[in-house]
Amino acid sequence: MRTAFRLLAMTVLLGGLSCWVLLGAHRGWTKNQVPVQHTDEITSIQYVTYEQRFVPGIDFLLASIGLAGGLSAASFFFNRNPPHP
Amino acid sequence: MIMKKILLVSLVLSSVLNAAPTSFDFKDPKGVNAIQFSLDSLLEPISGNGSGVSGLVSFDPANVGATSGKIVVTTASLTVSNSMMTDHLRGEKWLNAPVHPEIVFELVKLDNVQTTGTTTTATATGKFTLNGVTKSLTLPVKLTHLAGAFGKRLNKPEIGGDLLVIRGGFTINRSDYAIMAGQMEDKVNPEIKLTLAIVGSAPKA
Repeated sequence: MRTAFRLLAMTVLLGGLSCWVLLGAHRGWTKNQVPVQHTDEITSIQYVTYEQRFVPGIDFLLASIGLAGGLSAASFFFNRNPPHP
Repeated sequence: MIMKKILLVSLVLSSVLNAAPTSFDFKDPKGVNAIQFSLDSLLEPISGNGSGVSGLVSFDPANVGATSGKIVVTTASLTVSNSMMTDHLRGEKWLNAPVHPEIVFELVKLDNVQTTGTTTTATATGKFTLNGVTKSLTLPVKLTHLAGAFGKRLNKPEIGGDLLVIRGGFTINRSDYAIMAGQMEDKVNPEIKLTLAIVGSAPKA
């Protein structure tokens, strides 16, 4: 059980880090809709529409690290070797 | 001679009476209108917009100083890049959209009016209502009157009508409008920057 928790912690940490890096390594807040700028031809007004896309931010990365740390800490509540009958 | 004078006076009177201001509707058929807002925060500025713009502005290019009207933005249309933040923004602790559904600017007067061609710059003073609090507000504005451009914008040049573009910007302090006054100032800046670039339409039948 102890090993399982540690493997899970490692998976969460690596998964979170990979997701953050592969989806842009955004150093701001996590976005789940991204602003796209357009210009109206006649009036020259610049306006924004939102595109539904997930961009993990620093808060996502910190949450992954925190969850991995929690799982890793929880692993210490289990014995190294389960008692034999 | 008398007939000529009567004719001249009636012509002048007729032109004055016909130069009535035009009412521009700011519920844009192309959905372009929005106010943009930005607040500094811990990681990066929180930026978003409010696209639920409506309102009527009465404008006469021959007498810009007499412009009057009201612009309304629905609170529930305010959106940022994170849906959880958007929910918080519209929620009870921040702008409480169900209780205060509208953000309103009602123009009281225009000062320092300077017109060059189709563009006028001026200082607008009005009553600004946000989160149920109304305060007097002064901001620089730029008005651009695009005569005959309504149909062209909709790719229907056969439809006549004018457009009026209003641009402006101002900064408010959220504590002035009872928006989490004095709270979370280390995470969300107390100052909110607002800019608007909106177009009103006056189609002609």
